Amino acid sequence: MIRIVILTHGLFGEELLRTAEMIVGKQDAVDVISIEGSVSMSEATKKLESLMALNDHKYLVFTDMFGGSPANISMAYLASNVEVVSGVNLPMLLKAFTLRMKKVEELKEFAEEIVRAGVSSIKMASTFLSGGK
Amino acid sequence: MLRGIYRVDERFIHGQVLEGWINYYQLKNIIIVNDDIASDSLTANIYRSILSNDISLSIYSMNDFLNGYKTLGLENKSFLLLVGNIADLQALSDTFFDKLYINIGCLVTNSENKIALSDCVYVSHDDIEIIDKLSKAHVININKLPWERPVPLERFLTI
Repeated sequence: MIRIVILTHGLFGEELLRTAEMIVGKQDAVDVISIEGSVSMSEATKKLESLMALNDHKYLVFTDMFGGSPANISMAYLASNVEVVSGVNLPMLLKAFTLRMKKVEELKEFAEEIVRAGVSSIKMASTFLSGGK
Repeated sequence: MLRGIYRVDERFIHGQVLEGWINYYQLKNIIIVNDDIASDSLTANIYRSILSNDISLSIYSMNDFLNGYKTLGLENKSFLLLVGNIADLQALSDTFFDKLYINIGCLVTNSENKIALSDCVYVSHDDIEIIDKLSKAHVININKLPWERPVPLERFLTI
């Protein structure tokens, strides 16, 4: 199973996971790292390294904002068994959990499908609902 | 002597810097002066990937910057210069304009051995001495974001 790490500013990741689990139930192999203002980059890096210590596993790291500290830290760990996807939202996390249930094990395919789900989940209602003013 | 925004922030380019300083002032020239990043191509590439193509990012070691800053043609440009600690700020002091506004963003490494000035700025006694010296000629504030009220560091110098 592809392991998931959610690395975000503040408590966004914890709440995102809690909310996703309200919808799809308790999940295995998922960890959250919250970066508060008082956490140094080296502390956050150590936490990420400790979670990704198993070289024979595949990891997808979700971060909130491309260019933010969580994404900057994560990108340094890109590898054949590690992919990083920024801009995480609830539909992306739900897609990740449902893909794992379907036994998707190829990391690139897994990540690409999640990115597509994230992009397609963003809708402006007036563009597709008739009667919008 | 150079004009620009000087910032001390051990995270260098991150969310507050991108959404705050760079976007707010529409800055097109970003300079990082740091020995570690100057020799770390991975981190340098990550920072370059973050910035849009119309923003120039230059990364220098301290020696290279001090030896070459007069030849960079920065006199007529607005820029953001980032260093990662107070000692590096002091090392740059010869490049400062007459009176400079310096902001301090995030300094949290080894916070347990330092004095907390805010929830994300921790300084040593040596740092305070440097700030005290620089404050006589420049304005140094804790200022995470340009639209927030800056906190002058002078108020902490009596501790």
